[in-house]
Amino acid sequence: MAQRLSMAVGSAFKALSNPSREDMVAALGEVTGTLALQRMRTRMATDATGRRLLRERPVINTSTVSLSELRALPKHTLGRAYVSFLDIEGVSPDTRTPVKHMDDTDDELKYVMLRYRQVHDFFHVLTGMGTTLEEEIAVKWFELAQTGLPVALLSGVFGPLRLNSSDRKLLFTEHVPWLVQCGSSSKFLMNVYYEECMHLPIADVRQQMGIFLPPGFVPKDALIQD
Amino acid sequence: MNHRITQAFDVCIVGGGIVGTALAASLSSSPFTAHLKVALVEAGNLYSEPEIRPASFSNRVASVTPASMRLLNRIGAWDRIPADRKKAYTQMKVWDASGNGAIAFNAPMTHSASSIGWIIENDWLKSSLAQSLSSSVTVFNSSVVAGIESPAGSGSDWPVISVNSDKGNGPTIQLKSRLLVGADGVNSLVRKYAGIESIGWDYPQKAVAATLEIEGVEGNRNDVAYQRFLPTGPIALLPLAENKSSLVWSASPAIAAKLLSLSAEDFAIFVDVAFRNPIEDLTYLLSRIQPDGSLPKDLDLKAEAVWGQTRLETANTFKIGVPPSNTSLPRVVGVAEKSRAAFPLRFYLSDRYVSDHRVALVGDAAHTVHPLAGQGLNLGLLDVATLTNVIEEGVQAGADIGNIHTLQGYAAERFAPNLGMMMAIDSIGKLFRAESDPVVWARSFGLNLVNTLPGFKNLAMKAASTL
Repeated sequence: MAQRLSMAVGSAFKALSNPSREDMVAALGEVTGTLALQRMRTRMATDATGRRLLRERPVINTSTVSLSELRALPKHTLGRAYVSFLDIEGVSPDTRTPVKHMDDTDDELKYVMLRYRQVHDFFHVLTGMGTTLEEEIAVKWFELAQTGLPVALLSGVFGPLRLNSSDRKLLFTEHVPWLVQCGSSSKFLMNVYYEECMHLPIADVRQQMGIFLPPGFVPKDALIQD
Repeated sequence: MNHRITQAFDVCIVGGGIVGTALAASLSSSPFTAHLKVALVEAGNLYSEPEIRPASFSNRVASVTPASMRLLNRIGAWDRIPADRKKAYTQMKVWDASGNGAIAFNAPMTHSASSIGWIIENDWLKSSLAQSLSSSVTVFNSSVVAGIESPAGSGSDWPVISVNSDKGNGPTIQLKSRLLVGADGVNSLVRKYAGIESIGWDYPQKAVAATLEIEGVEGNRNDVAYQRFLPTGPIALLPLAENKSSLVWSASPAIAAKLLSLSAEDFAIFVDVAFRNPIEDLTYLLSRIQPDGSLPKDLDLKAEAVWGQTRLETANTFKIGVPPSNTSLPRVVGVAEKSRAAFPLRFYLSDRYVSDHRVALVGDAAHTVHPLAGQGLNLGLLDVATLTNVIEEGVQAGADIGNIHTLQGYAAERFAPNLGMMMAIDSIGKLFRAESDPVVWARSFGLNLVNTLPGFKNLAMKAASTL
C-alpha cells in the first residue's frame, strides 16, 4: 500500500511536470483509479453491450482491426473518421501503453482499464476533437464527466496551467462547458462495441450516443478529403 | 339487532391469529388462570385445516426461537405440530451483497438447545394453538367486531364488544369483559377504542414470499438459513424440508411486481442470481423484465446468470457480495405453484400497550416490524408469555386483572425490549440499504469484526433468539 501511495505521488508529479510522459500518466491512472474503475465496471455490467464486452473482451489493435479496410470505408463513417484521426495524429492503436501496476486486481478490471485506453481515441473522434494540448484537456473533462477517473480530474484541473491565457479562455468558455454537459448526458461510451459500429455514419452514432456538437463547431471528421 | 345477548367474560381477546390464539391457549392451560372465562373473537376461520401433504408448504412461515418454542411447549401446542412441519435450523449465514461483510452463526455456540430456531408454517402454528384451547375458552368463530363501547352511567367500566356472528350476517351478540385484549393486528380496532396512538410508516418495500424447491443443500440436511442484504432489501432462504425452502425477498413495490410477473422458471433463476451473483447482474436482469413478465428474446437468462456467478469469484478484486467461507448455497430449481405472493412491510409502534379502558395490546396491534430478523411473531409470543404471567400474578393477588395498575406490569416488562428490538431491526434495514462507500466499508468492517469475535457473536445471538 505504501509503495502504491509513493508511486501515486511520484507519478502525479512527473505527469504534471511533463504530460508527454505517457507512462507516468498511465501509472497514475492505474494506481489511483481502482475505485473509479470498479464503478466503470459496474456500469458496464448493468448494460447489455457492456456485459458482452466484459464477456468477450475484444481488443482494439492492428491485428484485430484492419486499418486498410477502415480507410476504404465511405467518409463520414465512424471507421473512416477513426482511421483518419489515427493517420493525421500519427498514432496507432498499438502505441497505447499496456496495463501494468495492477497486479493485485482481477483480470476483468485490467481489461476495463485496457479498454478505456483503447477507446480513448474514439472519445476524440466522437467529440470531433484533435490532439492539441487544449483539445486533449477538453476531452479529459468529457472523460471525467463520463468515468469519474481521478487521472482525468488531475489532467483536467492542472493541465490548463500549461496553456497560454487565450487558449485557456477558449477552453473554459467554450470546450469545457459543452463537453462536461455532453459527457454527463450522453450514453456511457464504454458501453459501445466500436468494432461493430465502424460502418455506421458518424452522425448517427453521435445521435444514438446523445453527443451533440455546439453550433458552428467543425469536427475533425468534417475535414476528411476523398 | 333484536337478538342481543350479553355474555360476561374475564378476558376477551379480539383477533384469533397466532398471537391471540396463543394467549387464549396460554391462559386456559395455566393452572392459575384456567378458571377464567375467556372469549376469543376471530373474523376468519380459526379451525382452517393446515396443509398436510408432505411435499406441500404454505408460503407464509415464521421463524420460531427457542424462547417461543418453550411457550408453545408449555401450552401443549408444540407436540401437535408434526415433526415434518417444524424444520430446525442450526446455522445462519448472513452477508452483504454490496460489501464484503459476512457472518455465520452456529447453534452450539449459543445455548444448550440444538437449534437456532425452527421454521414453521403460520397455518400449523395457528391450528396447533386452536387445538390446544380448553373448554374455558369460548370461541366466536367467523365473527366480526361491529363496535366496542364503554357503557356510560351503568356503574361498570367493562368494555362492551358487539360481535356479528357468521361473518357479520348472523345475530349480534354483546360481550362484556373485565379485560379486553387487542390481538387484532396493525389496524387494531381495540387500539382505536382505547385511544392509543400508533406511529410508524409503511416501508417503501414489499416482501415477496414463495415456496422453493432446492437442490445441493449444505450437509445434505438443509438446516442452514441464509440471508443476503441487497441494496433493495434483504433476501432470505429458510429451510422447510430436505428439498424445500421458504423465500422472503424484500424489495421495492416495482421490483416485487416484476418478480411476481415472471414465469416460474425465470423466477427461480432470479432468486439464484439474487443470492449468488454480483449485485449488478440482478440490477441488469431486473431492468430487462418486460411489463408482461417476459424477457426479451435476445437475453439468455440462464447464460447471463452462469457467467455472472463465475464473475463473483474471478472478477471480484474486493470479494464483494461473497457469502461466508465454507458456504455452499443450495440451488433453486423450482417454485411451488401459486406460492408466490407479495405483502406490505411496516413499522408501527403503539405509544402504550395498556390503557385505563381495561385494554392491553399484544402482537402486531402493539408493534409491527420488518421481517428481516424474523422477530415479529416472536415478539408477539413474548408478549403472550409476559401478559400470562401478569394475569397469573394478578389472580393470585386477588387483583382486578383489567385494572391499569395490574396491566402496567405487562407494559413495563415488554415496551422497552420490544422498542429496542424494533429500532435495531429498522436500523439494520436502513444500514444495509445504504450504498455510499464509507457506509459499506464501515458495515463490512463491523460484520467481519463480529464474525471473528465469538464472545460478541454469542451475545448477538442471545439477543436475537432468547430475548
